[in-house]
Amino acid sequence: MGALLKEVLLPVAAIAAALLLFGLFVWFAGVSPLQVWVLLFKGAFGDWYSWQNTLQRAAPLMLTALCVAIPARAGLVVIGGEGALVLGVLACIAASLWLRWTPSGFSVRVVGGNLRTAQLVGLPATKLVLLACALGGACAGLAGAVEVAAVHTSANASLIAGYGYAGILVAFIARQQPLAVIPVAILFGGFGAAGSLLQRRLGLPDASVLLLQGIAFVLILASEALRDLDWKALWAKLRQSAKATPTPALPQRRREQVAP
Amino acid sequence: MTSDQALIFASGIVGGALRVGAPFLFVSLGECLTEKSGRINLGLEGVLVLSAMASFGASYLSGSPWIGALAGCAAGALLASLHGVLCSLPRVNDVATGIALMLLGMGLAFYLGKPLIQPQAPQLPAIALGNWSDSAAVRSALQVNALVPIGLVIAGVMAWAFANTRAGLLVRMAGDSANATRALGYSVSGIRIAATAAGGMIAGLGGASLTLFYPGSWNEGVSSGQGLIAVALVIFARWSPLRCVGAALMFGGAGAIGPALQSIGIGWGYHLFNIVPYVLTLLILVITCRPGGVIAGSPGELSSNR
Repeated sequence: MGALLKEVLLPVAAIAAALLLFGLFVWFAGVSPLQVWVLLFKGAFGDWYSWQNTLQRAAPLMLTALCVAIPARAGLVVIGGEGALVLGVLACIAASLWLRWTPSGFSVRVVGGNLRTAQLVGLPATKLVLLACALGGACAGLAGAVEVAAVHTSANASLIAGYGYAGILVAFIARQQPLAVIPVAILFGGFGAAGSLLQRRLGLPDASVLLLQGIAFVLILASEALRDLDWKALWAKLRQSAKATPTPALPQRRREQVAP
Repeated sequence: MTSDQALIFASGIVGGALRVGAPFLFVSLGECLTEKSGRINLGLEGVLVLSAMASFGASYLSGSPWIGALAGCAAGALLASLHGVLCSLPRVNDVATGIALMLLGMGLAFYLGKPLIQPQAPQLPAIALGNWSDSAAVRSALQVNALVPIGLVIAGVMAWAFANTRAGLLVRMAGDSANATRALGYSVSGIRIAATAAGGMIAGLGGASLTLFYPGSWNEGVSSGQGLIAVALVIFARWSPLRCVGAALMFGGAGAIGPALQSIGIGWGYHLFNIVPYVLTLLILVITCRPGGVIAGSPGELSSNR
């Protein structure tokens, strides 16, 4: 439970830091950060209309994230999702169930975990990697189909809107776990949904959401480095140095380490 | 095709290679330096766009395109050094950081560059290579960006420095074996951060040539994925600066086939010809990469090789 808390706490702290930094940016542009934060929340999660907008944007993100996450579980990093797009929570759940409970999913995970072992056991590694890539590409294609059929109801060049690249990052932040892709995609879909509200109400350029997403991605990835930090030892050291009275040094008996 | 048309077509290709290939040249040289030190920088697209905006803004505000080019270098170096610092933290993934910085760079550039979309900034001087011809089309096709000779000099200096200087040896060592570098007492992260920042600085010149020469204005579509293609170009060039020049020119030339055909009146298949450079890159990569082997000349420490 503690480990799970730590896994969630760090990205959340990074997102909070990103929101603060973004607030600094808009403050320089003459806009109140508080207003921006309130509008971000309202635009993303405020009412049912905002939720619809958010989920609409989250779905393609989930699918393009799967385009990266599934092959990544097979050990291959794919960043070409922008060229092919594709239905959200269902696909994520299906992918996670497949990876977890089915023999083929397990084989794919083995290939990603340790290629040599997979080959020794006789798994057709190349075919499995190809399968994972094909499934990932199918998800991205599905995202594109959804965008055309349900959202825009037409196909033109302005379709892509960066979902492919954002999907790569959603996948990395969710650490290539399809189930974790769901909340991460919803969050970043929310940022995107709030973007037009920011533009209308506060006159910020519509690229501000891109900026917020960029800052958030960078900080979340950087926070990975803090994951293994020994928080208890750090806290103990901080408390020790805060103590005013230095304890007198007692003569200590040195214990010799006997090597086995 | 008449001989006149053939001449126009040929000069269109050559001019396109020089014009469109200029950003590719700088970005691939910068990426070559970064990868030689053992780090992949996928954020060069963000560097390109940010330095394009910075050089346009600086040129507009100061009135001199050269100050604009310097500002582009500075912006590129800053963003790339952010990549270098982030990647030197433990457990941070090169690829993901690069993509994140690409988005950050693009976001920053579009956010700060909003007021720059309308105005015009002083452009870089052009070197006219086509004055021997009577045809206006040939003359305008062979106008070359003043930064291109600088890029060629940088390529030559890089190639010489990798082979003959201590700094070049350090960069190559950090790229081939982190253990050997550490054993000799040098800081691997320090060398890589320096190489990444220098690579970003060179790539910044690419951004400057985008907004200060061709297409010559700032808007949100100024780059078309050139930063990402640079990674493929560097692999294609086998991490040699001189071959990077050839790769950039080839890519630029392939990308100029469509417009060159249009200039002699053949409009068929315009979009198809625009995919030629990418298809060419894929083909070359597929032909030259053998399964089970590592490409000759690839730095051993690149995360794609580990």
